[in-house]
Amino acid sequence: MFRSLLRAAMACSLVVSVMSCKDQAFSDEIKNVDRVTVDYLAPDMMKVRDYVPMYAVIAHRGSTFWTPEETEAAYRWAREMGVDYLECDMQVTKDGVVLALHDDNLKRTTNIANVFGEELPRVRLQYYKDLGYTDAEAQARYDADKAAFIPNLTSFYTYQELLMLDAGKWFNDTEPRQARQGFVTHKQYISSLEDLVNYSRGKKLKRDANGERVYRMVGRTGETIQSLSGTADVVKYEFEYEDDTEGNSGNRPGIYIEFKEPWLNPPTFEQIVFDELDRLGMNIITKPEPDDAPFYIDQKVNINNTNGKVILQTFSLESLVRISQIFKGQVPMCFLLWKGTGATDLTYDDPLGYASFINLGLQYKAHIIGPCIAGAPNNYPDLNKPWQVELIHRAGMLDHPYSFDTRDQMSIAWGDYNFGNTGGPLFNPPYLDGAFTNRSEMTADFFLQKGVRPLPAPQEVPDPATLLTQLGYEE
Amino acid sequence: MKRYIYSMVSAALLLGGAAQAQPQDVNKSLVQVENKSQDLKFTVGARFFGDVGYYHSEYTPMNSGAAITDARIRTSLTYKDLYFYADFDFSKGYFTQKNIFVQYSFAQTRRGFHVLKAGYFNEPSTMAYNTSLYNYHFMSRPAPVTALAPGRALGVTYKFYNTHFFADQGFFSENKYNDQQFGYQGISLSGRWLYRPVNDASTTVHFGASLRYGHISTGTPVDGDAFKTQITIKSAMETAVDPTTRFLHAEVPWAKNTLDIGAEALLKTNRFFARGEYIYKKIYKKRPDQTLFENQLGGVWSWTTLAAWQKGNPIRTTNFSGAYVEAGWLILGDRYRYDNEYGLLKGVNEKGGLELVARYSYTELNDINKGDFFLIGKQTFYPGGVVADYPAVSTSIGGGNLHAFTVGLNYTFNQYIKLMGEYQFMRLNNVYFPNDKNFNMLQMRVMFSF
Repeated sequence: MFRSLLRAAMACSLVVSVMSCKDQAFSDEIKNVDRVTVDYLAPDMMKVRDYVPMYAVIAHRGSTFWTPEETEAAYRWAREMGVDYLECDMQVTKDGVVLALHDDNLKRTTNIANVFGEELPRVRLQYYKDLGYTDAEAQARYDADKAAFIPNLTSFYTYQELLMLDAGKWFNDTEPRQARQGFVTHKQYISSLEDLVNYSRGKKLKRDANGERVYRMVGRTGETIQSLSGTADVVKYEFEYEDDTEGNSGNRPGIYIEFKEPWLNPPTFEQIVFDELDRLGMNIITKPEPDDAPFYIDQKVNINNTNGKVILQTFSLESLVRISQIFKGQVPMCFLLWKGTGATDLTYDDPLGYASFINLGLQYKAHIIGPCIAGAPNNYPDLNKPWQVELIHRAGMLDHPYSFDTRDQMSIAWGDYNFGNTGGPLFNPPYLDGAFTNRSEMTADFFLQKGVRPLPAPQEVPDPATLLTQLGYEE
Repeated sequence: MKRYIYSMVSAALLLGGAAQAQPQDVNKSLVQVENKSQDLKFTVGARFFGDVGYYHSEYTPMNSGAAITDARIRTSLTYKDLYFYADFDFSKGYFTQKNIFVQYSFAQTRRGFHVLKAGYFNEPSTMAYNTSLYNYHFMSRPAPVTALAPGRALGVTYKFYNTHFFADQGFFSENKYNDQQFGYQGISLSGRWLYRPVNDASTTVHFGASLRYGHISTGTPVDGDAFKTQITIKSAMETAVDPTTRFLHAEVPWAKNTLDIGAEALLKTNRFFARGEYIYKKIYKKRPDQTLFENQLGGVWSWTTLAAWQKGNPIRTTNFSGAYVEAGWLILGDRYRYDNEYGLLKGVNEKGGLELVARYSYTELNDINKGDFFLIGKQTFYPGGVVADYPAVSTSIGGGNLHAFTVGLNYTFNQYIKLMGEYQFMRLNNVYFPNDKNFNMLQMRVMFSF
């Protein structure tokens, strides 16, 4: 009996010693990084990932600090600053024009309250007549639009109406220290995707003698578009551009375009953008660039002439899926992360939760993760902790955190404050492979100092204020 | 002391009637007062469980260590055909009401026994829940029983039994103290019925069924004027040192009525027993759709019609199930015994009793729609696997699926002291714990009851 008990005790001891191998006393986030599984980019996806230069400077909305965001001024300034990408958010007008515009509500960044109030624009009736409808038909459409109208939401306005708005003056009112008379005298418009592409190619808007942009509403294309505002005709516009003589640096940055809330846009929005990129010569699936095209030539940015000319991005899970179906992982794609409880947010940012979003990104053919970073002035949640970046890199993806406003944030992301210590929770700095920045001059200079933008990348960072004056935006 | 005991006895006499013995932890309490002339017996006792557990999990830690998992004081009074019983637990450092009931046996004939019982006690449902843990052959009841079977409730039962038949049924209230913050008391009707084709001193075979209907009325106001009832289904991992229920846990909103169906079988010989139970639980729901729909109106993004709201917020009944099989081999000791009155296997209480036991159980608290995708970063199900920003609310519930294998060795020093030891392997499938698949546990327990 005693011998049997002794044997049983020995067996138990053996089991205990085996069980102890992988034990941990508490949920250790750092240890758990090694315990979670992330998938890995497929070889063909890695090839597309490598279309994107390392340590890319991504001009968030062109500039939010120096200029009114996502306007001609913002994008011209960013291009001349020597950034790698001009970033924008995309929405679509009621009549099918793809915009580079962040807010779904027009009140913050335009003077819509003074121009249209909360009424359906009265020019809408004439708009329908100009499109060839009879007076009765135009009136019927006008009445229908009026009945369904929700004021200030972008998708309820035609592009012709949006061109009546001033997208620059609000900046002078809210940012008096950066205000410039030139943002008003050179009327700033809500940009279209076509505008953005032309800015990236060294163009600017062609304006008439009164400073108004030159464009023509050609007419109905025969197609219709379904959006929150109902079904409408797709209208073709013709815009004119000219060489930017004041901004002639020769930089040709790429564009980094975000698909905004799909519930506001047509269900075919991703296809619309695919087609628009195709029309504008920016779709590398239909018109690829040579694989050996360099990112930089003679200290000029040349990304617009490479296969990395367009990077897609979205927070939306729904849009992520649709993009994967339409672009098939053949265009660099960034899955943006925000922490919260909203529809698209990462809610549980422990290693398991974080890994699940990385894997979702991989499943739907993303190459890049774009997490938010902490720090003033935005004080976003921090989804760019060292262990989180470790997971991104373990998946073979790039890390493009957003949005940098200070050198302090850059230093944190670079690992400067590790003070040479290594290992443990520090993982492997730097904790970024590119940066969405509101201060392109600061980020570009930071990367230059770190020696990660060697020749033939631009080696000089223009003075931001002087550059604005040079571009014609007088103080 | 004697005077004090007798005064308690006198008070209990007011309950009147006749009594029949209730199976207690031990056959003979150490402290008892008996007055044969008045057919009266009073006992007082206590019990204590001390557990040691060592756990190994793959991702989410469980807390290994030692704990007082049970510490109770009990008392009973038998006066003729009347029986009163009460016990209280304070093992967690605070008082917990356990059983307290009075039982009256009447019309005892050769055809059978009739028993009325009122108070707070286990609903007649499963073998496992109606067996005292001191006399259970495993350290913990199987997880499917803990999760799905009803426990104690305040109610009244009527029981009839004889050698071959057993029928126990009654009705119970939802909340023993009526201390719900909102709502009225719910009610449940439950019963357990057995047929014993073979039942003699050496061998017993029984087959049984149980049925329970529960109506939930306790809830909380939501959205201002909507009243929400819900039920939580959960179980520990067949261990008590770390009693966490996170691995098997299902919150079922809008639960209104429950239907439990059970089946059981038992075979007992002198040296061997095998028994098993199956439990199926169906949870019906009721939701004030019109109120909730109207309350969400008033914004640009409101649902515009009730039908659209219902399509985006579907609701359906939820189904859970579980089962276990237990077997034991009495290596040393007199023999296994069976209790006709309760339809239960008795504990091994003879000095020197040594038994080897084994159990397999499964608990199914996953009621996940085929094709649904679970994103753990949001802890959200996406119906049909369609990843969307505003998916329809999924009706899936991921409470976890557990398969547990236990082997144990139990030793009885005497009827007052027992020693138990177990090894368990568990296999979990829970979408909230994707990295926790395998659990290994070593447990020991020393029990005193007198």
